[in-house]
Amino acid sequence: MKAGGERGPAKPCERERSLAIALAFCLVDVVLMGTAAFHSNSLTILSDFLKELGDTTAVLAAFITIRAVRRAPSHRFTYGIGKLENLVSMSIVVLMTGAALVIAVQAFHHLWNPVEPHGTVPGIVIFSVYALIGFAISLRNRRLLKLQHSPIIASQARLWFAKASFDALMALSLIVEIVFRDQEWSRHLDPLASFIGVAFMLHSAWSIATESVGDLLDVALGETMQMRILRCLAERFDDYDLLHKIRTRRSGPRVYVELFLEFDPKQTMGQVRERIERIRHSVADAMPGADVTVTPSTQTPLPS
Amino acid sequence: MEITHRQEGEFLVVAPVGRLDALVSERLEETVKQLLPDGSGSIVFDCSGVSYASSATLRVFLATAKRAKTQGVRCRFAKLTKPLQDLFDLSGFTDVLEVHETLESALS
Repeated sequence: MKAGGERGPAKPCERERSLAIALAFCLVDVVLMGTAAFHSNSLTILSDFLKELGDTTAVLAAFITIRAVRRAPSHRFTYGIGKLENLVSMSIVVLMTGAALVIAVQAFHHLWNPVEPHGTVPGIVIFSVYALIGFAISLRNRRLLKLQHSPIIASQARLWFAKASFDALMALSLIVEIVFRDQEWSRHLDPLASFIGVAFMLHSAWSIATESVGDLLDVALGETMQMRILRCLAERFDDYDLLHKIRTRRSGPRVYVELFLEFDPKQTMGQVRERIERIRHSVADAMPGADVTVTPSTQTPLPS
Repeated sequence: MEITHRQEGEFLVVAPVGRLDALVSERLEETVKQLLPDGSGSIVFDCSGVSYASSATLRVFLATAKRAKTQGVRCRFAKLTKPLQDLFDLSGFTDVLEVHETLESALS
């Protein structure tokens, strides 16, 4: 007996719209940063252009995936293709790691061969503007996450925070470099700032990877969610006889809860069904979007 | 983690001590299942030594209370530590389970 499908304020169309905004931002960013890189000798701006290309690819893949997920389930994937989100998240991890390595190589090159960059003003303006926008998008995604779990939105929130931090640091380092252009040490600021950006990106990639791998391996829900389920079972204490097992898992954006309960054998099928419905609704209401199953059972189920 | 148990009159006193995480909760469940009297008597959890309890442990407490009720056995919880009391309040257990401030009260 299943609860209704995905519910809650963070509907798929909202997530899709969020990604569409991010994608538009990325495409504009690639064009602008490409232009800035073309008119400057700054390797920092060039490496950022490469990073933007990677980001844009990741967001585009996420956008296409979320549209594909919305169309499922099909006769072939009757449980939907929610885990496609996790696979896309893993590809974002690979892209972010690759971009981080490219930037690190460029940074080492700059440290050993310092050059005086010129034509960096357009880059500074772009970095500053996009740092502000990036922080705003990251904040928006985090608000969505509070409403409903989604690996893609989680990875996007981290991606944009890392990106905005990186942009802000790049802008700052380029500004300081212009202000102190007569000082030899100022030429090392770019690569040093790049290393901080690399650290941000690797940290984000690691966080996305651990979460996505957990979802792919059907990780159980966290303590907060488990406590919500227990509260529902406590509230419906008299509706069942024995509590055999609570089994939970995530699959992409979906949450599955299975309750194995024993009921009074003297009750009729109809009475048991009424109680099951009450328990199921209680848990589904406490966990919007969760797919709740209550299984009448006389023993603890074996691990599947 | 340590689980001790003793008989005090009609009361079986089970005293888990330390951090009751998911792994330990399985041991606790098995122990309690074996010890739970059938048809008469009472079981009392002395929780004064519990420093941490996971949701898995709370599930064991709830399942034991249900099993005890079905078997006609009284199930009580005594001397909850502050972290455990907070969890009981949060999960609504305080409203449905028999909680006592002292072990003497639970054994009376």
